[in-house]
Amino acid sequence: MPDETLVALILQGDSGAFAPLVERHKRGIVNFLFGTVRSTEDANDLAQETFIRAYTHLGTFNPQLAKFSTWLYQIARNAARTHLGKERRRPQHEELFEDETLEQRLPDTRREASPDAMILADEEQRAVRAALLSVPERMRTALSLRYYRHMEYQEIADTMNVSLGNVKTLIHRGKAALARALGRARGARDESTQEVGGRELLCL
Amino acid sequence: MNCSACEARLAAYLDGELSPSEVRAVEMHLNTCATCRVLTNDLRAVEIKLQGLRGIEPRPDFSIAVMAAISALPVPKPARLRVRWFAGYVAAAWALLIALYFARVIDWHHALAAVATEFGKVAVAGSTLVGVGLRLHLTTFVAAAVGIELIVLVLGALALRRFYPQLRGWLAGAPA
Repeated sequence: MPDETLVALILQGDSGAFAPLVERHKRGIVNFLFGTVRSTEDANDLAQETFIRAYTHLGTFNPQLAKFSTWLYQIARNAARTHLGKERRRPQHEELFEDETLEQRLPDTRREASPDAMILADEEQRAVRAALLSVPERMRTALSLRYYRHMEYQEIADTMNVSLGNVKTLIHRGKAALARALGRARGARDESTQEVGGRELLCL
Repeated sequence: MNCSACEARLAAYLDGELSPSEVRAVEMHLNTCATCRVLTNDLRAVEIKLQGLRGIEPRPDFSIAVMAAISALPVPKPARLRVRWFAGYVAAAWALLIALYFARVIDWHHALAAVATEFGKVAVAGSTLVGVGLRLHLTTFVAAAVGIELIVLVLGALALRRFYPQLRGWLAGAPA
């Protein structure tokens, strides 16, 4: 049953028709938010808030002007913006990702340490996510919709209320910003590895 | 091709959206410019990393929690048309005017006289403009007026083109 039919059913009083909408879109919304906020917990909380907000304002949804999914992602983006605004006002300190320990953040200087493919993949995932969080919100949203949700450019343009050309520019500039951020992070990591290595030599 | 022209085409080049002649021009520049070559490689590497990003699964109780939360909320109703609100505002304004008249706060004669004066001012301003136009040269005056009108129309069209997506989104009414 199409989303818009389910919305019509809810507006006629069948609130149970909201369950298939949640099932259909929850993974997409959670993953989109995962690309824009720091933790899995935040992504899940904001996604739940998105669905509740959508339900509350369902009466204002106009199927002639937008698809339900586009409208839902707009609500999720607004929720993420509000969340990031609050986070920015909090005192700044470097946080670890939820699946990261302090030991993982420190460079591994053990001589026997062997490059395990799985660990490297995880490290890379964390590095890319950390870099994503450092790029401006509009670029991050476009990149999240593209790479976490695999949306087409036109769909991203509809969701973000910008033109197709703007989406292409945002994604291109976002990738360039990401490349710079990854380069900076790599430089900082190499420096700290050399520092720790130097300290080890002094101890010997 | 210089670096800025190459950089402007790089996204389309990597997405395979350039014409064969443009591809040749970009590749010729890349063969001679190390900076743009590094940027291209960086962008390719980022693309691979982004494509390798892993998603997550929602919490196991995600749907249950959402449905439990909405069960406590009233069932949403279709939003009433804004036209009805507008009609309400107009009716309220008229009711207020009539009430003020009966309370002798406003006087219709004075109100009508004020409106007539305003119309008179507009008529005087209009006739002055026409007089100035005739005195200078009517054709010049009309041409200038049409020119200004055209500029305003073009600016309006450009503004509409620029802000149309936002306007459409606002009309779609995504709650903040």
